[in-house]
Amino acid sequence: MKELRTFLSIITREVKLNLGTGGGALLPTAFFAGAMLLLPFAVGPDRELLAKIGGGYLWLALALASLVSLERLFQGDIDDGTMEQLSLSGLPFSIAMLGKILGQFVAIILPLLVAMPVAGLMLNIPSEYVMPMTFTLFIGALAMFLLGSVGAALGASVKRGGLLVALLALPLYTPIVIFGSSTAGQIMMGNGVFTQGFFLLSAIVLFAIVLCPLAIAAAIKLNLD
Amino acid sequence: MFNYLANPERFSRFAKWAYPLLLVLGIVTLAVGTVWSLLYAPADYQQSQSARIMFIHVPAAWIATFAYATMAVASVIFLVWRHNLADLGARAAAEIGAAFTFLCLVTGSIWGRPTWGTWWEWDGRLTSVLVLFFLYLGYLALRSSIDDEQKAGRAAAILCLVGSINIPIIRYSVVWWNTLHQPAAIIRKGGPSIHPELLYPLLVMGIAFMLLFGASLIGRTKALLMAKRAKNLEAKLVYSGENQ
Amino acid sequence: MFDCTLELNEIALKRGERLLISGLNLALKSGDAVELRGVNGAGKSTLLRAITNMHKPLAGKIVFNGHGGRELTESLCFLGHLDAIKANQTIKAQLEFWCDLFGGDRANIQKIVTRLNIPHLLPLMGASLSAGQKRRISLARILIANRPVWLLDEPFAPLDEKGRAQLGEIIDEHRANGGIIIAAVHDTPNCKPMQLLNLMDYVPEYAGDDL
Repeated sequence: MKELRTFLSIITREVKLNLGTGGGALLPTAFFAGAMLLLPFAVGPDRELLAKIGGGYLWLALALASLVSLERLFQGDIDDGTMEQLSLSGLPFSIAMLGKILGQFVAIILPLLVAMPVAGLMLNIPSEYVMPMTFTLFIGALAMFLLGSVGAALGASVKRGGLLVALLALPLYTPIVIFGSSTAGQIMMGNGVFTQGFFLLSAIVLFAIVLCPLAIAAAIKLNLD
Repeated sequence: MFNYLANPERFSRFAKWAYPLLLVLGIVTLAVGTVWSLLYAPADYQQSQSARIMFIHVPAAWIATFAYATMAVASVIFLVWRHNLADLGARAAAEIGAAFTFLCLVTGSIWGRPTWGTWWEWDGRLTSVLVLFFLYLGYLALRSSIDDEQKAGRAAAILCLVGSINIPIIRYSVVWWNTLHQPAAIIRKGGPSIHPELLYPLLVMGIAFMLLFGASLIGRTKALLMAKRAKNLEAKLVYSGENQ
Repeated sequence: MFDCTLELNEIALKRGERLLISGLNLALKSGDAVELRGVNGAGKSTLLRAITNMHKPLAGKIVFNGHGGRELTESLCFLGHLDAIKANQTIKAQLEFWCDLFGGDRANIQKIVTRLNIPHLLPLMGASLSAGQKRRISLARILIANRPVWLLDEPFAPLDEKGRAQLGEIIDEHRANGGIIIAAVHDTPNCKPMQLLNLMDYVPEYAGDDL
């Protein structure tokens, strides 16, 4: 029970800090919206074309938007000494890190959950498919965030390692984008969310939630040394 | 064997004879394989002469994966037993592996031109090699951007292990994504389906590449070891200067 | 009252390629306090970090109450050079978080900040604090956590005269309460004399080259 209280306190604090002033929880959403804005200019305003590539493009925009928050994920806590104190929490360090990631995820996904359906509608995705699409994107965002955090934790040893984190994280996103956009395709064909791609995506989330915190804890410990 | 070779002295003695041996064997095998595959192996009845690039492309793909596996083993050894030599080995394997991966991508692209009529075909296996190339780049970039060598080695080792868990998932997903690829023809149930007249020179080339990989790995590791020793020696001189 | 023991057995420390100290032994029981001495770079901070499990010693064992590992990290407080204070959150919220994180009792927070003369800082944002004020908040964090082992890395440095005297009192009180303290200090601290440990006595012959 004491452990649960500690774990929850880490999550709540992370949510509060990120949603508060200077927390930057809106940045990924802003990036996501910006990427959406440019798509019609790049490929033309043809509604049919937008609907056709829109589902896949949402995934691409999400992948890039998730990178925006990753650089800031651990850096601040390492620089100001919070990480040192977190390592003494009484929880296994990997669990403390999981709490931190989940907290930050909650903070950045809330505004994204508003932006994603709007973007879907603007890309001419039929309105009855927008909510299933958003749900899949939500699961995908969690997977990306978990895998991306590993890159962020490794890149945290490097000052201004933002681009490095992108290079580390993007190849790991391959399966997520594949399964996610395949699910998007199935939704557009009227087959619903629960298709093979979605199950494989969910499997990645489950794997990642167990394994990523271990890798992250090991990587962050390098910075406490 | 790993613990035996982890001692730098023993490794240096081992490298002294193993490096030239593997290098000479590799060059000879490569010469035999090249002549065999270019001059004596029959041309593919569909793709004619252009299919001969396979004799470089396929072994390069093998090494691309094999080098990553080597890195993963070395990384585990480094993380668990903290043998610095294993870290140098992982770095060497990454550099060489990246080079072979690049070779595989280039030959694949050249092969694609007459075969599919395009310089780049988003074929399942070729695409997963491309992702692998990015993993190599990330590994090398991470290593080179952390100043502290111990830290760089450990961070890179963690990344390598994360990558090696992901590689099968990435492969599976890419193949799943693109069913328009040629089936893996060399190793499959019920024996190889490729014609023996093509298979044997291919295997010879595979062995040649393997030997050359081994030689480069040992040579490069030794070079890194020397560089590190030189640095330590310098540190020692500075240290004794400080304390006088 | 705390009742505990802390032992360091044959500790050797390495930073980068350089061996800092070797063969360090230390046995402490409730009420003991150690003053770490040594020139800059002697390994004082590294030793404290090794005890917190942030740094892995090259050799040796750290035993707390007869056990290694987690039991120690759950029983210690660390005061380093960094104060772990967020700029964009009130001090009150931050202290409450540390209290939850270290398993302290929130009811004690008010008492402790009053004791440290900092109740007026509670509603402020972290950004508006001076270095000395931040250090006082860190002290509050340690008192709130209420753990037996204190590892203090130059705790007196940013404090003013009054703050030093107060920290001295707090240290003495913690010892009287059965706590264990290891502190890296440069000048004589304002508290009861501590056991002296000079790291320069453990500096080995140069042997930083294991390749």
